[in-house]
Amino acid sequence: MPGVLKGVRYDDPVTIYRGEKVLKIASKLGNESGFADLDLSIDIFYSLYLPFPVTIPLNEVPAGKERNYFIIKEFIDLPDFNSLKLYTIADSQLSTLVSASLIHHIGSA
Amino acid sequence: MLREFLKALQAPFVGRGEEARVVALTLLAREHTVFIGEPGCVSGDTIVSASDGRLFYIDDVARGLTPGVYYVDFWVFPHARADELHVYEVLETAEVITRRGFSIRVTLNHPLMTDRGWVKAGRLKPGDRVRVFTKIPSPRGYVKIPRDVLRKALAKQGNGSVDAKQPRLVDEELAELLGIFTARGFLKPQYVGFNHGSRELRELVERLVSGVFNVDVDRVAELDSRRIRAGRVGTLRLNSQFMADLFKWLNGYSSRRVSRWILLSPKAVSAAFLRGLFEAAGEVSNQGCSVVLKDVDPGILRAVQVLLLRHGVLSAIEECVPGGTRKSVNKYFTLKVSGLENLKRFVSEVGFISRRKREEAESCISLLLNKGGDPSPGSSTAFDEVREVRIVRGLTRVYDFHIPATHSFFTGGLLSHNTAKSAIVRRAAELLNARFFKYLLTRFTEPAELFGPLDIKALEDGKYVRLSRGKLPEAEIAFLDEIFKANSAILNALNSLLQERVLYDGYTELVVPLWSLFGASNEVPEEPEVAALYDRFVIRHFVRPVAEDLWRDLLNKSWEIERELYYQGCLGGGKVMDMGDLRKFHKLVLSVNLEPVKTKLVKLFAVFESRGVHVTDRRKGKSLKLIAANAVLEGRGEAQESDLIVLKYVVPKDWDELEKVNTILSEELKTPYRYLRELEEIKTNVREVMNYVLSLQNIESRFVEMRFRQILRDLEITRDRVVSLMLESRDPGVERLAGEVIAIIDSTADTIRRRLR
Repeated sequence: MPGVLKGVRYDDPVTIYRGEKVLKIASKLGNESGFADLDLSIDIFYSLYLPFPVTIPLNEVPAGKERNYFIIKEFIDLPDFNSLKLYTIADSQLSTLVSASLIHHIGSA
Repeated sequence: MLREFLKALQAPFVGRGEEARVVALTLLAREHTVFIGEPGCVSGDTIVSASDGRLFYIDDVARGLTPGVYYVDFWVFPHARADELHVYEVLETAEVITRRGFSIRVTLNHPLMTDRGWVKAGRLKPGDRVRVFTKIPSPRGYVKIPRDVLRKALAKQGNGSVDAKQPRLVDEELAELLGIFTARGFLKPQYVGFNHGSRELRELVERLVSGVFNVDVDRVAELDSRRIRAGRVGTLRLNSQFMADLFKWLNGYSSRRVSRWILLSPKAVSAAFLRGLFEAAGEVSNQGCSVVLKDVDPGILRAVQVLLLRHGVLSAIEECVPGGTRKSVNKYFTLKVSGLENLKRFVSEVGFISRRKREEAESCISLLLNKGGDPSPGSSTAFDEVREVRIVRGLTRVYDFHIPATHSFFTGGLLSHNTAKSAIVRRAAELLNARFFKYLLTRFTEPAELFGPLDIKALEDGKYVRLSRGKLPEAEIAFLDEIFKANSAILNALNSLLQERVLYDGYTELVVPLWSLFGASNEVPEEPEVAALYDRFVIRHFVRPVAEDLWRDLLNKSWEIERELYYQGCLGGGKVMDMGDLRKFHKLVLSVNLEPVKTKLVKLFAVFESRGVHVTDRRKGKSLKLIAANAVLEGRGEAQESDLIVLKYVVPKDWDELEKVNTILSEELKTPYRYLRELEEIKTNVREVMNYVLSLQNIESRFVEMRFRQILRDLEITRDRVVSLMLESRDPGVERLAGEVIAIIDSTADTIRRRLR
């Protein structure tokens, strides 16, 4: 499993498509930093989209994906992130846009 | 009326609702469709089973055939009639080997049944579970030895006083001898040899020879000046031209295959063959409580594995490399029968000839009984894990049965798939009372076969006229199978026929009444000369196999189809509309308001392009017709977003693009599929919440309280979203699933509220 969230089917074509779409919009916003890879973009999307995102235990995180784990863990606990979820839960379009925007902002910070 | 037509169209079929819809859309849009099926191609050494249990190496069925398509009348197992045999040559194949050693070599896109449905062989991975058979039927009739075989053999050895019995049938006794011969025998032009290895086996061979040919071995040798004598230690030579010729016939052309006559024989005979084989080359391993057969070539073992299935005995083939060396010269293979039920069946139905081996096998069974035995598979099929998928490069001849009804067949122990598409088209033509023409194209098909022969009398008068009665120029609905296999003369004629509905023939231009032409192919054409014709099919439907849970219904329906076709010549069902009605509906299609979807359509084309899926301008324009047809089929005069789902029939060029397009459409369009998917994701996640809440509900802490309040808020948002999804979709399936999700949300929220009180 390349991602860090429980219950997400990372090899599903639609899941991959969603992650790619997030990355594509982020790059159009000017995300050239390469801050997010496909797996992180999927994780950010589902952190916003799912009502209750749950991370897998740290010892199950794939090698090299520990950074993604800590980013997502941090996001989930942030009050601002949670207030964003008022708009994004179970809404794939808004989750996509907010994910892309987040990646853009963090990447350019 | 349209809905009734659609219902009547799909009524005789199972799991073919989408194909029926494609046919209806094609007719409404007055367009042409090509069905692309998965080519179910297997290599020549694959054993297939006839429905009566006779087994064949598939290249025996196709012996002498060059690549092409051939009509056949062959009933396969599971029970279905194959009506065509397709022979191809490919550059790449995949060899799929399971843990039990079932093996099949197939084209990379050949679908095999797995526990997650049909999967292309090239996409299988070690650990995937493929469907294997644990029991197959057995034929009833004994194989007769043709008289000319015996006559020729006797003629060769002269008219000496032969009082040896000439066997007329491949019976149990002869099969036992052949089993030993397969393990230990060799053939020379003048004699048959056995490397017996032990006195016990030599005596057994002598006894069987004496029984089969009704001769005293020494006496016959003397009387006929032929010598059947023990040669050097360990070798027995039967110096008989007659026996040598008979064994040559029995053994066939390949010493690395089980005799085709054994494969065709009833299970009593094949059991005798196996008994001889296991007696000569098998052993009982008390250590592993199993019966083991060794060979350096896995080919024989694979055939033995299939033959054992007639007795419900499931075996496993393993590759053994002694001493850990990888040198192929030391490599050998073992077939192992293990497990209590398998061993019991083996001993009771196959067994050994010698008392010693019989007793050893029985003691194995006793040992296993004392250990408590093991469960055995109860059904005739089970799953086996894929051990290895090897990609083999090099020109290979492959074969494919075309099975109109059930689409799948037994191949070397595994279940393979095949598709058929013509029946629904024929059904549509019958329901519309339309003039129908169907033909199977090969590169040798002459234009006259499609367009009718030239009128010789008219030609004498200097006129170029075709007698096209009952041929394609007169058809309103046509079905051309293997359409891309046609030669260039036919391909050129079809180009104008599809585009302009005009047949340019010699000096004449013939406007034809063709409404829709349906083509079928087992592969996406890659040749540039076929590209133009492929592009003219606005609708390209990639046909998938029928899901496994529908097989029982499918078999019942197939049987009904066979009966109706036999007794009535066509499938029943009232005529709900005719070609006149179809023309009226087509006018409705042309008047559909497409404005509401044009913006979204343009956006989708941009998304396809950005994902590397190019759509030609011609197809972009033509897609409107199909969108409008979908709206009419749904009873609307105005297109809406859900109608854009038909782009999956217009945009993809091949299987890879189909997957991309399906993904894009499922995410970008508000369709029931998308709603269901989103709801499933929410449902899974809300269940996680429920478990989390239950695990914390008895803990008194401010953190838990704060967390619960936050979850409650998120659940309320989720609930609102689920309700709005339900209202948006207005689909019964979506409503049902949304109801389930809401129930879980409410239950979780109630638990939290109770805790917070």
